Amino acid sequence: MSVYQHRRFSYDYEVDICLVIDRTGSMRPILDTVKNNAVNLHRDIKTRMELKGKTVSALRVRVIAFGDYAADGPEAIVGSDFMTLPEQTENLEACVDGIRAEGGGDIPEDGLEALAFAIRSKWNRGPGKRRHIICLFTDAPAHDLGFGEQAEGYPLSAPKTYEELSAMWGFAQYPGEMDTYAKRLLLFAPDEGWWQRIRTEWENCILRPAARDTGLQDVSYAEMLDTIANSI
Amino acid sequence: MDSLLDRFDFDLRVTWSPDPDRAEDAGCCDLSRAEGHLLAVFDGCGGLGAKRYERLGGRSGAAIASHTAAETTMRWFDAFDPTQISSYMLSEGLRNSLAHALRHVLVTSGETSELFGSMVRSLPTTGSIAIVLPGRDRDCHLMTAQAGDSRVYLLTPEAGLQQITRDELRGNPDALENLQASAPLSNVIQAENDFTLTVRSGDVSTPFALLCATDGVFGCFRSPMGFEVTLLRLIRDSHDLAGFTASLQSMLSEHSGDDSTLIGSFYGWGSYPALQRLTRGRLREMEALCDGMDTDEAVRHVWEQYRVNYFWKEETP
Repeated sequence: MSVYQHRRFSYDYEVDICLVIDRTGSMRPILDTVKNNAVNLHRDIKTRMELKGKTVSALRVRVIAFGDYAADGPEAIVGSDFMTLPEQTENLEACVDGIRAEGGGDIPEDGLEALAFAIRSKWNRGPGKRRHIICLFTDAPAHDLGFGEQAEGYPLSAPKTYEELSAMWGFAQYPGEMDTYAKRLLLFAPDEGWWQRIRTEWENCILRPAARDTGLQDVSYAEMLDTIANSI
Repeated sequence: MDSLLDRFDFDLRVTWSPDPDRAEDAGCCDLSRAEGHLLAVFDGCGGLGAKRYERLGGRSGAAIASHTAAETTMRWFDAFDPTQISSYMLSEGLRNSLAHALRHVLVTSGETSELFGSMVRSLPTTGSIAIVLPGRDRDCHLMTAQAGDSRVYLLTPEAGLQQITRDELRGNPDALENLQASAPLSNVIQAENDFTLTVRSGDVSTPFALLCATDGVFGCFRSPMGFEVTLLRLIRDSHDLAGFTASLQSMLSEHSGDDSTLIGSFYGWGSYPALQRLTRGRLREMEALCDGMDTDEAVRHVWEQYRVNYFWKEETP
């Protein structure tokens, strides 16, 4: 056996991306951005990575759409399985096409419950170099965990406190539920409340501030791609 | 205390980049002084530092950071009598100089980050810095300062290649594990947030060599053992220092996929043939240890034996 890695081995990544999208009324602009570009996602991420001298040997994407249990009931958070790209690009398109920007009730949403749902995704645990990226889009602050717990369909498995959610993500002395080396959290969210606390306290996190109630209309597809590629 | 130049034999410097126009590594060394020598490598962080700075020639933050850090370290070293440099001066004085220089560049650029969070860093670069001072008799005194995952190695006839600096990575994967995991850096030289320089020091007897390497060099091997075996084989199979340097260059261009910088200086060997002669026994030991290392499981098994003496233990009387 050669003492060397395969030439590209060091820079080949198996990437899982979980897109967590606030699907309440104001979010139409970013939903449209995702919908309009889903068909090119694989090609564009691959190209971005190649420019950085890295390659993506496998790419899977899943989508979670979230709102507010108190206002939207059991369908407040729904998620797909991981879809392998480019083979299942049509499934991804159908999945994001099916998300309607509606509902939500008051201004904050159940973004922390959605984040917990994303952390518990069935991430690739294969032997290669892995990246597990949660990419969350919202233009609203998050409710406290359990805000909607009296509502029908509120998940019994949801963390009860912020500390419990943080432990799921993990920190230096406690690895949590995700792969310590692979995990990344990219927040496109208002820099306030729980989102601000998470970006301050959690490892491997980037927050791109978003103005409230604007549907992230100033976030371009190119910026999304760059943020994802730079985190890999 | 006599001159360090009496012990110094030769040095080498090898760099390679898959895209020389975008290279993010920088190195510096000053081996000309009798009182002390400096060797250092810096690897600008391409992901964290991918942002381009228009007012600074459109270069990436990673490239700006590594070159600024190299120049600053060189100037800092020049300003002192090396024999007066202490661990404290490295951990505090050099750290402050690097932080100040990078902040100055950032202010000059007029750019501010639109991103926040633990992964966001302005002008980030690793740094692995070594200072060699003359010690008692024919010994030398070493000091290293570390931020990130570039490395300083010590090569001796008896112990072979030992890693002096410790990788600063989230989750603390070991040197074999991280070839697969590619963990995020837990500490990195940067312009805006705090960082540390971890200092180690100790005495070492000649003959020895110091090697400073960015991860493009050791990251192209399947294991830390593979790196040592390859170095020793290239020493054995080259006719002279120029041939050894050319072989290293050719190895990196063939096997590395990342910017790669290796700077080395050799002390007390006497000549290149003596270096070959004195490392021959260690190569035989390593080849015996690695014999049959054909599977990932076998690599892990050999690593468990090899790692016992892989890290340099400070030796200060």
